[in-house]
Amino acid sequence: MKILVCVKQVPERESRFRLDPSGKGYSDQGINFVLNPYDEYALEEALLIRERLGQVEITALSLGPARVEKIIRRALELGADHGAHILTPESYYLGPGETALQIVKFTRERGFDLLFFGIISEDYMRGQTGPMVAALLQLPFATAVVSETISDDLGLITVERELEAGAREVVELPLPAVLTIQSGINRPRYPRLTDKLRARAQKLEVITGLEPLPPGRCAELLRAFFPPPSPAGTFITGALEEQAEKLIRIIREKTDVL
Amino acid sequence: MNKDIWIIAEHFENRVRPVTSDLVAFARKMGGEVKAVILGHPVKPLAEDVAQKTGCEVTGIDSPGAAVYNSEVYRNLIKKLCERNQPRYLLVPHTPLGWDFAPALAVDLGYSSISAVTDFNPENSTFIRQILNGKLLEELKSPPGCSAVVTVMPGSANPEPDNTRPPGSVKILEFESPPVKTRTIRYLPAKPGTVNLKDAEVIVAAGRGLKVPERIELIRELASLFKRGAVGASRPLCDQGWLPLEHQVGMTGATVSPKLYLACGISGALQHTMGMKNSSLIVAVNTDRKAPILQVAHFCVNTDLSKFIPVLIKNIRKFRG
Ligand SMILES: Cc1cc2nc3c(=O)[nH]c(=O)nc-3n(C[C@H](O)[C@H](O)[C@H](O)COP(=O)(O)OP(=O)(O)OC[C@H]3O[C@@H](n4cnc5c(N)ncnc54)[C@H](O)[C@@H]3O)c2cc1C
Repeated sequence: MKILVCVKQVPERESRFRLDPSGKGYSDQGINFVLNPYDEYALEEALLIRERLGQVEITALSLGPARVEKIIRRALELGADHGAHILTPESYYLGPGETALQIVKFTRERGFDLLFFGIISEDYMRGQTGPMVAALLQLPFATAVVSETISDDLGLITVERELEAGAREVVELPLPAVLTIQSGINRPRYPRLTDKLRARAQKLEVITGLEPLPPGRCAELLRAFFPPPSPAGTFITGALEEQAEKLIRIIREKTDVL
Repeated sequence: MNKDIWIIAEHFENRVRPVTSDLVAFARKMGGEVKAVILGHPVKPLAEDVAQKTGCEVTGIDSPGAAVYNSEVYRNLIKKLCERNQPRYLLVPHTPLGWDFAPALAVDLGYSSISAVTDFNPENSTFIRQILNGKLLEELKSPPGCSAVVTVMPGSANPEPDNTRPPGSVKILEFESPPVKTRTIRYLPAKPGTVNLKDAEVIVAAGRGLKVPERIELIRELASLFKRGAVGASRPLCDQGWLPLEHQVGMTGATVSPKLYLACGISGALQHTMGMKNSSLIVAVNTDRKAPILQVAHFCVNTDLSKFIPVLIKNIRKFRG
């Protein structure tokens, strides 16, 4: 069995942002980039399937500028067998449709049985790439997957999709299939030293040249901006003791819980 | 293509879901003719309900395969409808149902795809959405002359009260079930928990700002000082197993509105605030002065929670005597 895990590099959660000169996105100067947390769950699920079934080959694929090599190596450290990098120019805006198209091109004639994505990436939070890849390849898919089992003949995958407020839905898909993985499905591992050493030395497959997207398929990005200052919120100032006293007073004024 | 805005109504167990009214309100804010589309089997009572409640003209697509949600069925049937009469915008709720089929439907139709929008700017016909967990917003538009599938965050517009307009007309179309590969097997309701967040008067909620699981004790202790106090959590804490799932607040957890919600080390992602923004008094304890939680919090203590909470506990005890 062959599993493709698409991974994305995103800014660390604690990052502080500035706008880039184009005004359309954030500046990546001084930002520490990491593997998208949701993709970490997707990769872990692929690793668990390999442990369960044996004969499984896992490829980690990422699109992006030169800096994304770091997270492809991270995926190798965590246990992926192969790493592939579709290189894009620096500061190049990739919409979900264009990203999906490149991934589809990559998958051609590679015979993947499962294609895994994180449910969203924490930078643009669109959650579109996985389902778009599935639509382009005419493969069945499921989003927000929180558990999976594969049939003995490797023909079917049964998943639980997360719905609202703790409810779930059981869906059955024939392979090949596309899944987007929700956080909490597993507990991602830490790399082993041997894998770290292997990952450092391993050659990545690098692909250059992007397939153009037909016109009208991509929304036009006009600008990025900071949310307006909070309308209501008041800061409770002072030293710790003073802040605590003030807060108690506020709670007593506004509620009857104290 | 015409200028119509179509909204896809959502229903579950024979009831139209309230998010449908949010979507209608959002579409009306955008201007233009708003029509509703609903898929089901039998769909007529549902379609009539939408027409009655929202006053929209409703097209009900009746197909045996649409009795319960199936992404392939939805894509296939909505595509058929769009091929007859192409709308400018197809609005879909950004819910586990909507985000599932919308991007793939956009590919099928050759439309552009915009997800999780929270606002529309009528001056430039642009959509606003959050990026980077709400730290920045972006403004996008579907190119002129191109149709778009847009998913709209629940709660992005204030719905009118039901039945304020004359009921819209209802048209039922019967479509055959398309062949599908994906099978929906069953629905699993949420497991009943022992923690009752809904009845709590005070929720002290913990987020990743806790940094170490030992600090949950601080949160527990603070919550225990109130008569009907409970411990809430953001999703990552439950994902990591620091607290059981039943403590989770937000889109995929509980929706709560206690008298006091104390958000400790929670950044305020939309998926979290959706579940608590109607609390009477919201106080955030957060080291980041710009954390998105401040968009919904009434007060903020801009201090390290590990320093502040012990002092707050001590002072509440002192006050109680
Ligand atoms: C489909 C989907 C559904 C989801 N459903 C939910 C849901 O139901 N509920 C939910 O909560 N999330 C949900 N999420 C996840 C959500 O998007 C966010 O990732 C999550 O809410 C972030 O949790 P957090 O605020 O605890 O962590 P972070 O975003 O990492 O925020 C931590 C905060 O702590 C602050 N902090 C750090 N150190 C300290 C300190 N010492 N003292 C005080 N403050 C400190 C930081 O400034 C920051 O604001 C969902 C996501 C998806 C994709």
